[in-house]
Amino acid sequence: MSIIELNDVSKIYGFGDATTVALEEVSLTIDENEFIAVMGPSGSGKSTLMNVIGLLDRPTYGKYMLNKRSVDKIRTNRRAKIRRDMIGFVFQSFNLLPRLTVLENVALPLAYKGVGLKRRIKLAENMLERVGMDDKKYFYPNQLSSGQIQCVAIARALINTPKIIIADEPTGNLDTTSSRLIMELFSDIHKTGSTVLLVTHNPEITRYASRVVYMRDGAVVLDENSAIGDIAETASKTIYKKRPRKTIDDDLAGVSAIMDSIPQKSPNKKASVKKKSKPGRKRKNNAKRKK
Amino acid sequence: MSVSYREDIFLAIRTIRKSKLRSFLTVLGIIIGIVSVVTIVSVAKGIEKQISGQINSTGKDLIVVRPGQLSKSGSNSLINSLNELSSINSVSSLSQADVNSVANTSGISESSGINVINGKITTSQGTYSKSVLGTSDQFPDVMNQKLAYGEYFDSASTNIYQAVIGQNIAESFFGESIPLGQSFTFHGQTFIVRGIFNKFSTAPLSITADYNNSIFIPYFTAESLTNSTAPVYEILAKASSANNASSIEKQINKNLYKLHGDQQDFTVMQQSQSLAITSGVLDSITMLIAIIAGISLVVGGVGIMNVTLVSITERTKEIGIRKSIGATNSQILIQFLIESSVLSLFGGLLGVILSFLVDYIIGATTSLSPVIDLPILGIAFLLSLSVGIIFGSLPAFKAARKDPILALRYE
Repeated sequence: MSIIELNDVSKIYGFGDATTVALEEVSLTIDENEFIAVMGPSGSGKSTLMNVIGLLDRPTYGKYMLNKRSVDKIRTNRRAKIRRDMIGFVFQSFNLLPRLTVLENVALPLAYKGVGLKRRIKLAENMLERVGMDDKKYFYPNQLSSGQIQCVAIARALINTPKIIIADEPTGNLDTTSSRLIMELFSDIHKTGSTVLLVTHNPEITRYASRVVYMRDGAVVLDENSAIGDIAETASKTIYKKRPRKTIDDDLAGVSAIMDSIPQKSPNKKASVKKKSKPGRKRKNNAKRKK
Repeated sequence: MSVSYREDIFLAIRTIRKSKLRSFLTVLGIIIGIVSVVTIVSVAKGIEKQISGQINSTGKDLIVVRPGQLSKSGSNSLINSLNELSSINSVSSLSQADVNSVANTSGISESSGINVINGKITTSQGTYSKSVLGTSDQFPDVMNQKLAYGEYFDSASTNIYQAVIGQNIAESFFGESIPLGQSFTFHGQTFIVRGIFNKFSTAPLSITADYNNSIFIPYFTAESLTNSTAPVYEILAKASSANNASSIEKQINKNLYKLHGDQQDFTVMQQSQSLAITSGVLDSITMLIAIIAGISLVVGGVGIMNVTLVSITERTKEIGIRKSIGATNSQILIQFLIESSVLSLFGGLLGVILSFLVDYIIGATTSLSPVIDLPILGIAFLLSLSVGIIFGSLPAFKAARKDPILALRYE
């Protein structure tokens, strides 16, 4: 059953000679409980697509049916309410409110819904427990590591039990260990029946996805199903070098064995960079590891 | 939606506490505005209270006859009330015949005219310029006032050159607190001080004379000193029973009207009416000054608007985040309205605290005794709240209408 239906959706910024086409006649149908990874180079319209799907933005042309209902013409406040009840956002830069504690951050969407204070706190505590952050509930975001912050952000996204989780490069600012933790969380969320849309640059992430959508210049260029646990076929072409599995631990981790596939620092890595990949990010990660 | 109000309030308080100096500077205008308005209103309130206290001590049913006529225009404007006040103090149209007429009205138990003679008073300490009041021997009873020392003169006394003085005169004219038996010279006659009054309750802006600073002599002495030309400043009379004061007041008016050849060039009223007139005048003046002082609240409000505008630009990202997790425009609007209102109320609170201090200083250094009561605090609260809402609404609208995507991207 389709939960998201985009029909020839275009988004155009600016006007006259200065127009930018961020989305060009994108048609996409997403069924309930899909885990979709959206890949594509910078500026390919991934984030705009997420904003349109997340009701933060309105398409310039085209039709968008969310949960079988057209949401193109509804008013801003109604959109905010649908967003609140149906969609949870996770961002690359976490976007927690720095002046609120972890608990308050997680409980905030409930406040906008009008849930009473006691119930709000209880729900938020439960959610923090679910992401393993219940011991940090009175901390402020700046007292946590980025992985922990992302966990809290996910708890916040989940607090209204949304049908759709939209994550815009959630692991983009995280180290590999935290990335793995976060992806496991997303995997859990997916298993409980939510639809997950996840933008990523990292082909490894597609291991968790049931479907991978590739975008370029505002259009969906490729849409392939992918077995959970395997790197998507097309995405795998962007991986430079595979490392054989070594330890029993890696096997036990199952899908989490993603870590293994990340190339280790090697003297000739620059030479191995291929054109379709995101060389900048890889180099950065490796540079970090050197430290 | 309503549930988040409390959080918004707590959050606003947290914001203020976090940046104390900035918040203080922001609300400085509000503080000044509230202090001015509260001080002015409380001073006026204090005066009103003093006047009513003074009138209560003599009795509200005290019948007062004054020269001139109150303009009964019906309009309550400031100019009219000022005219009323000045007409009361115009040149006297009352004479000794009127005093006698009042005294002989049936139902009057005590009465006294008050004649005013100006002149120089010479005591052993020096020479002073002073008005001396000529009264009947019933004056203390009319005023409900006892003497602290000595006794009031009586009309049967052989020595007509005797005087009773108010408390303040004792110290300033004779240099001692109980100058009984001291003498002074006035209009070429030597007077002996026979008594000293207890302190009269006085009030600033009161239209009655300041009896604490007066010298009282018998009216017949005053007449003989001036060949019966001393003007009668007012006639005071007390009804034997407070219940029929109104009918007696009408009777007096009727008698005097006839006596003045069918001219209403005098006013008969009870103290309570006189109080109403005074407080009416006072209210008008207070209102006018308070409105002028209130202009500083506008300045303060603009200050709050400025800082809130800067603050929402700083917090664009926060607005974007809140919208992305489902805040509606109106919820953002309310959040920022609450924030500016809390800020403004905080200023109002500081202003009220400061007003207490200012009023204490005024009370300690002048004869005024300002009163801050609940209605004044209510006014201060409402004023600062409305300033916060009015001047917070523009920034709040701006915040609410921010595009969530641009706001999220803002760094």
